Amino acid sequence: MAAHGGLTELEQLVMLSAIRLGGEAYAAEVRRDLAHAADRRVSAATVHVTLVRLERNGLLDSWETDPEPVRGGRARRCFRPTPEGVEALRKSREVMDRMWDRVRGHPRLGEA
Amino acid sequence: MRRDPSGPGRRAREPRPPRLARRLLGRLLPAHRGDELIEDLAEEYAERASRSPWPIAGLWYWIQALRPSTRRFGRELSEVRTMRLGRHRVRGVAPRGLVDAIRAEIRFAFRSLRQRPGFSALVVATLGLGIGANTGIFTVVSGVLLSPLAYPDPDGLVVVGVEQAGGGSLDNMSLPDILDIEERVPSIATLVGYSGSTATLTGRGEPTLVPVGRVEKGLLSTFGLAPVLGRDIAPEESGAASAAVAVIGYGFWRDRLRSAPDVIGETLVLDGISFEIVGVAPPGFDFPGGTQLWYPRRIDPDDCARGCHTWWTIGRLARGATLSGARAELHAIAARLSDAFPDTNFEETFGIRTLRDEIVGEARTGLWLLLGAGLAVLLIACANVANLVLARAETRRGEAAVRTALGATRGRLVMTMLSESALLAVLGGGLGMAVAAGGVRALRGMSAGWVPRLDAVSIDAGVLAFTLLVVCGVTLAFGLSPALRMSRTTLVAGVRRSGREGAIGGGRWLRQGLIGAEMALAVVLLFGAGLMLRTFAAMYAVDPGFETEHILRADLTLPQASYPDLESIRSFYRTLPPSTGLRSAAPTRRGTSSSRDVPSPARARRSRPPSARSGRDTWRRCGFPWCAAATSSPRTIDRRSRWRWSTRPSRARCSATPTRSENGSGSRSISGSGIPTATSSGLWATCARRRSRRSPRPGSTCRTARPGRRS
Repeated sequence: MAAHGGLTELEQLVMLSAIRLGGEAYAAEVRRDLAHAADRRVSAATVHVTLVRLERNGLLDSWETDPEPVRGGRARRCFRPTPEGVEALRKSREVMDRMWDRVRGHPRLGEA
Repeated sequence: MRRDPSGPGRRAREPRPPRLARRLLGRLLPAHRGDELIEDLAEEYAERASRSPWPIAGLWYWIQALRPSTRRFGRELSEVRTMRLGRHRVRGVAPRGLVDAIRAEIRFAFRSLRQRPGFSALVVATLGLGIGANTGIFTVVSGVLLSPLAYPDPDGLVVVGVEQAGGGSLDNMSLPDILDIEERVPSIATLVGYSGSTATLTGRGEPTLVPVGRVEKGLLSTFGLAPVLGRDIAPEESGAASAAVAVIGYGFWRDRLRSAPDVIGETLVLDGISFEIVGVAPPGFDFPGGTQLWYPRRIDPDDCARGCHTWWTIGRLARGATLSGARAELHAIAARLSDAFPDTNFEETFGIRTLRDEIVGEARTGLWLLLGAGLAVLLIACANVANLVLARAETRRGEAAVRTALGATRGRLVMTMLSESALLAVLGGGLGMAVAAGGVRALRGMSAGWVPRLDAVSIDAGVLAFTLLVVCGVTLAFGLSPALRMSRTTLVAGVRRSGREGAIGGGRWLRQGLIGAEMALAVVLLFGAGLMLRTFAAMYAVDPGFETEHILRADLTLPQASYPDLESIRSFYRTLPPSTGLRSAAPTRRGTSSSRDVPSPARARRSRPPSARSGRDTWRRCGFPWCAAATSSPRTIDRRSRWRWSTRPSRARCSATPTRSENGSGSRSISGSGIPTATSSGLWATCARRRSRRSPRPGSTCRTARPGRRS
């Protein structure tokens, strides 16, 4: 969470990815989703840091899945947004929308 | 042992990341949740290694291990663990940062100490006594020794006096010597003679005894102070023909004159003489101790010459002058005066010291010794408490092992133990402050003047800072070693040991060392206390040289107006005994014999025998016959002892005429009757109700001062 209390861009992307992936939102999958859907290539550690921070701030909830049904299969920690997380995401979008509304039609932004 | 999620036994055929990088990641990331990243990286490494040569995949893995975000992830996980171990989840929002972690530790420490109230109370009481003793003594040391005097440029204020051979306190001086020093010693800018006394104030309600200072000239300018109202006493106002003027103290003006603004010009009647008020001293000025009023002392140069040592001095060093330079100049002038006036100044030397040193005097050594003893007591208390905490830490190894298994780091375990120690030390410090406040109050009541400046002693910010420092030191002293020992607990050993609580194991040497140190300190303290008691016993056993049984001492002042001459004073003392039940009474200028009155052997040996004329004249002017009058049949001198007598009038109180020499060593005993002056302030009286067990024989000689040396 940024110093102003809102979500950073990466946090918003991770939250959106967690919503999109539903019950399969574990760190490696979120990272892949960010790379494919948002064209954001971030390190595994960065994704883990963001997830842990969002969870610590009460915006994400996590649980461990059962181990994969293969030999040596590992359990994964999956994430889903909490109601507070969804609300924070909505507020962040509202802030951005307001800002965009205020610059709508500005000559520097062209047709935007 | 750290896990190796990508190690053998799991995906055995997959390529394995570089061993060193894996270990580094294992160090950087805590086990809890850290494995998730390590496994993700291992998976990706396997993918990359299958697609590209292994050095490229290995380089990628190293880069991932060294990324700042990896270390940041480790820190984030540590905070999450802090949150969980502190059971600190409130409404889904966890605490963050070091402050929250410390807060959680303090809460945990409170709970932990509350579970063992006996242990906690014992430790707090022990520390409270140790810290209280130290804080109390430091309060006195700070107020008496460390804080400067409340005057401008206090280091420049000096006291000059006649140096005693043994290097003790400075003796009083004669006025001509003071004037010579002020005139001829360039290092001393100003030097003022004064003497303290009391005077009876009349005409303003009930007659009251007021402490007064009789000064050669005004003191305020020497101290760098200005009067609140009016002016100071001018130099030309002293002397025989001086005007009767007085400067009153601020407290006197406030309490007795109700802070009247038009007080200048009013008159006060002291000892039957009217004095015109010319000034009011600033608040807090009461030099010498407790004086409320100052007026010029009447000086008759013909009546009181160099032999009459009745003046104390206060002066100020010249700008840029040093104490050692002034001392050298004083020695030089003393040598010149000794040659010029051999009858009165023979081998007399002048000493100088700062006013603070003179005020503090011999209390300095005693206070530092007390502080050292207090420190030893505190160390003993710390050793005691460390033993208790260490024993308790041994019983908590199981707890440490469980916490380690849950992911608590060694630093976190140390923090837990130190939090408890700090909490105990703070509680002990609070109790210690209360003990110190009570101790200082009790000391004020008991000191009876042996500790100077005690009125100015209070618990201030410096004392609080000292106590805080002591608390921090105490925390480390008794908390660190148990904390380190507990943090070194290995999982297996801790769980095993928790099954048999109380086992000491490898901490035995530490506890034995603490007990040894404690014993050593206790022995040192015991020896010190024993030596002090022995010294006190020896002091009480010293023979003062006269009978002390049934002798009473009283302070009184005879109004000069009612007793203007010696005959009237003699008459008063002659008539006093029958009216009061006393057998005999005699006046003396000083009330009791003190260390100042004891002539040192060296001094007595080099004292030049006075001529009959000069000695008689001097003593008739300034000496008192207290011994002869109070003991009409004085005690016989013990001829087995060899006594040496000072011939200085300020040191010989008995009488005027040397009569005989004793045992051929040049020492003298003195008998006869002396002549009291009109300003006597002390009275020695022998109680008539019961005769002394050792009745002196008539005609024997009396002793005037305590012996400097016995052989």
